[in-house]
Amino acid sequence: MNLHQAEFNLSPELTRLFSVFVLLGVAVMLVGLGMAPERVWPSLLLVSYFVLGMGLAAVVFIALQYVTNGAWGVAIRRVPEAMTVFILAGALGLAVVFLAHRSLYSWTAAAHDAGNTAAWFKRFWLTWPFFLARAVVYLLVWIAFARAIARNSQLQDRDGDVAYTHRNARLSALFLVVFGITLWLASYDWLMSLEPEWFSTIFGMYSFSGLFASGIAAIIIFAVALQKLGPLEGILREDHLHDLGKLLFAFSTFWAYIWFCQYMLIWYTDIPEETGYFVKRMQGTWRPLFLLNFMLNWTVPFLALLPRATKRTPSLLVKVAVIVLLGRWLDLYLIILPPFMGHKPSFGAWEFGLMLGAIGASALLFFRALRRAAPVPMRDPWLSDSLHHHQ
Amino acid sequence: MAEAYPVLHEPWLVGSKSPAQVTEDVCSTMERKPTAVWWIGLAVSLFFLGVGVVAVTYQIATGIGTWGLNNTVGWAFDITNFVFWIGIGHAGTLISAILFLFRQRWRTSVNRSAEAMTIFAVICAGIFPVIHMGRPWLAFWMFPYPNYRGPLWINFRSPLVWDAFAISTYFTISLVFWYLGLIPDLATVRDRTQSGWRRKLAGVLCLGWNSSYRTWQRYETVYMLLAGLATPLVVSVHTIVSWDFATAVIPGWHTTIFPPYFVAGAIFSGMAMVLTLMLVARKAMGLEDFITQRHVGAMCKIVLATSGIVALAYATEFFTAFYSGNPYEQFAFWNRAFGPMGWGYWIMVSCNIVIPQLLWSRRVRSSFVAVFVIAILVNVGMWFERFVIIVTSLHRDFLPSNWMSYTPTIIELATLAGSFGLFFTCFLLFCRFVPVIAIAEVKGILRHDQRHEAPRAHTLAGHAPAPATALRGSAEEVHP
Amino acid sequence: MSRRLLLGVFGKEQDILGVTSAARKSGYKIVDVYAPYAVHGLDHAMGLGPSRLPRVCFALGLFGAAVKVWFEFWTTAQDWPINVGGKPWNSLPAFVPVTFEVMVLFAGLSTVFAFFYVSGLWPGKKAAIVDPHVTNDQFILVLEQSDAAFDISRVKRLFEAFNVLRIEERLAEEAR
Repeated sequence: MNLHQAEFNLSPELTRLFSVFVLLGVAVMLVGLGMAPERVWPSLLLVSYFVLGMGLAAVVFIALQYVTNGAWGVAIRRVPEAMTVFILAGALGLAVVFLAHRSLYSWTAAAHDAGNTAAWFKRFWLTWPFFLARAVVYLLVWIAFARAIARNSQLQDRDGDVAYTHRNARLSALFLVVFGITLWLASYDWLMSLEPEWFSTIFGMYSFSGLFASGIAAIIIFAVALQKLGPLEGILREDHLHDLGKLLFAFSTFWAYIWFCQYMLIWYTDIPEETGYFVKRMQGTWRPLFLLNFMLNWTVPFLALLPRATKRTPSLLVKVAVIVLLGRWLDLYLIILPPFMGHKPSFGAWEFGLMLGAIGASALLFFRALRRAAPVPMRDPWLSDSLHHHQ
Repeated sequence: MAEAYPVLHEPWLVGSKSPAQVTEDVCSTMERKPTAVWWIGLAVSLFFLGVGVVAVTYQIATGIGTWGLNNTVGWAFDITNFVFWIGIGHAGTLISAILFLFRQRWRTSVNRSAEAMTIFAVICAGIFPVIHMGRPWLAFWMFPYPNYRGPLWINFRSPLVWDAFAISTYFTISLVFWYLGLIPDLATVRDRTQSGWRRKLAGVLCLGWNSSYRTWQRYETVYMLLAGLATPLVVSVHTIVSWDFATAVIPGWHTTIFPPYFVAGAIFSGMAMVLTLMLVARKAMGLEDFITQRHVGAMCKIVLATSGIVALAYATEFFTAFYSGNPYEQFAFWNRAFGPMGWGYWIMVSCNIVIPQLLWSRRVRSSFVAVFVIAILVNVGMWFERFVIIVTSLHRDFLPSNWMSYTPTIIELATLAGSFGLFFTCFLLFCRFVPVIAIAEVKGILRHDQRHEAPRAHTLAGHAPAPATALRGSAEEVHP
Repeated sequence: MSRRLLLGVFGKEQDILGVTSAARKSGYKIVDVYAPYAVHGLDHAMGLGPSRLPRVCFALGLFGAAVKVWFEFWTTAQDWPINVGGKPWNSLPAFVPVTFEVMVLFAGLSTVFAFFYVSGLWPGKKAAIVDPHVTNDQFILVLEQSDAAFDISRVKRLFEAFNVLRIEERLAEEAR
């Protein structure tokens, strides 16, 4: 193991594989835009938001570590740092959707909710230029924070100045505040307004819970991959995995809690303007998916991660993480697609192609971003604590 | 590099204490004669407790007409106090269970008293719904038991039944958790005391604890399991409390964000109460070495973080009311801020959101006077939060002909004062008769504290990157 | 039957950790270790397996939840169904909160009582105190002088390498 090895190259086979994924994805998307645009546009929104979310979760993960002085994660911090590239990638996907197909949002059609005088605020909030301006602000703010935090961490590699740690702790606290507000509003804008008549105050929190759980799952997968491929060999220990596993367990359960709170309250009060959302998602063939969503995101990970052994065995933990990522995809599918698909959900080449493309692109981007710095933040003052981290 | 040995943080405990000193420091506070401050505090608390007992007796004997409620405002003071006290309790569980799972070692200095606070707060909270029933002697109707009315079962779909189960489970588990933590310390008390009632009592209550490591190992497992159970439990309790409101269809009550928002608010107010009590206790009991600057700083940060979550929830509610396009929602929130009871809303916003922002400043965090004042204001603000949610949502409902106002009666105020009397009486007695610091747990972090501060400074001072040998070093090197 | 025991009294956490693991590696029979707090890693040093109490917790928690969910269904949907607010007889989402509380109650209490049972703790039990210092600041390793191969001078040397404060020999009646 050579810590000074700044360059890590993905093997040509894997590079080729992921490139094929990307090409397939792009090809499917282009064909699909001609043949089935009503399915490809929402799917593109889905994968873009998915990828963006992993990037944001990575920044939140780093920020939480700085704010809480959580030393244990320092040794693997370059993984989430590299994952921040996903914010840019997701932003690009969203930009394509917003600029090329704004009619995805039904409220862009004229005369939306015209008869309702109480909807003046909604009409003002959901106007296209304002919507775009907000999107630009959210994305720029996230990118700026992600870059600043990652940059400080990388600069610290040169001289080991503790000032970078303090600076990042302050930046992280600020980021968490800004992130709370922007993610809440962004999830209202991009997801909730797909059905503009529906609203749920917990939606921002719901959106965060899934986003963070999937981010932890992605960190686990990438960290274990780097352990197998070399850069984190001998650095990523069982104890780190155990902690990541516990986090996955906790946030998967947090997701279930938020999910249940939203469902239970809407089920219980049975107010027509709210229940419409769930009626659409529980009718006909949607119902099994609705239940599967809860299984993939909570039941399976919860039961699988209860024993200590799962959290400490890389191969098992990765399997659980993959299930959580699938669950995340399904969760977003159930948020985004029902208004466009009517009574029957469909899954075919279009959805699968975009998924494949997103996987390939994420992997290529991640490993590329990883090369920007040493695979371990070598002169972080907490590094030795993290390397000898004990349960 | 700015300094040769930059300090990342201060140690948790002041002075390098030995285990024997910890025992001595903590136990001696119980063996000394109580201070005058303690007696005065107890006298004041007992006075308010007496006021409360009189008020409760009077209202039960007379009937619920002694309250300021009316047809429109059917829930007000009692329920506000109930939610307030339950919320106070939650910080104790946060410190004892959640911070344990997150391995935040600083909790050891405050967890014992925070857990005690939880128990007393839940007792105070539990009194209010029982009084509020109007016929408290029928309180057992809340539980399902075979009866001669059918048997007619309770309605398990009712959030009020959920409440009864949640509060009683919460109380039981908190009590057991607290007692479990106390067992080894009771054995310490037994072994250092020569004779007398203290030794006898501690001897009985410590269940024959003899410090065997085989028992310690199981003890640690049980402690971890209970922490794992208490964590979702504490979340569930305030979630269920929030459902008392959110399962209704009343604008201002029915909103899906209530569960996480209530949980965050509960921890917010509870942590402020812990801060208040700790700042007093460390002075009054001479525990300055155990409850340090760093503990106060850490708790301030939790207060700040939860204040942020609460602020986000306020904003979400307000925003969504206007986004929804629902005129009733919009009116409820407009009325909350600018209606006749708007003053309550602005007290809530200033105390819960504006003032805690001062804690961003390190200087404020290190001034115990400032922290104490902020903590008290947060508690005032959180009390008003519940009052605002409950009363302003009710007092102007769908039919303007129903609109009413609400003013508490002297009896209701006396009951609230009585609950504070009960809380502080219990807490002061606890400070006298129980080790206020978890002795065995603090001993467990002594060496950690001393071991970890030194080598870090060394790593920082080193100009070379951490050598590969250190990276490969096995666990034994740090844990010899 | 009585056993001959050898007690080593130590003053520091690292010493008791070191001597315990050394004694175990040399094949001595460790009767018990007494410590004023839960020393991290001593279970490994003593070679104790993980506790089985989590299983009790899981099983009883599951049992409590199952019984409760059945009871709620039975009372609300079968024994005396009452229409409240137009909710379905089987209002599963509304049963979740109480089921959860009962699960936690069962799991928590059963774990604690199981712990008291297996560790032999009960109110008023006369504690078998090895030395009053073990609840204050000293650690004691108890070895059994099990067979003829037990070489007391070698053990003493081992103890001394870890800064032993005091060595005692005791006879113990066979008892728990």
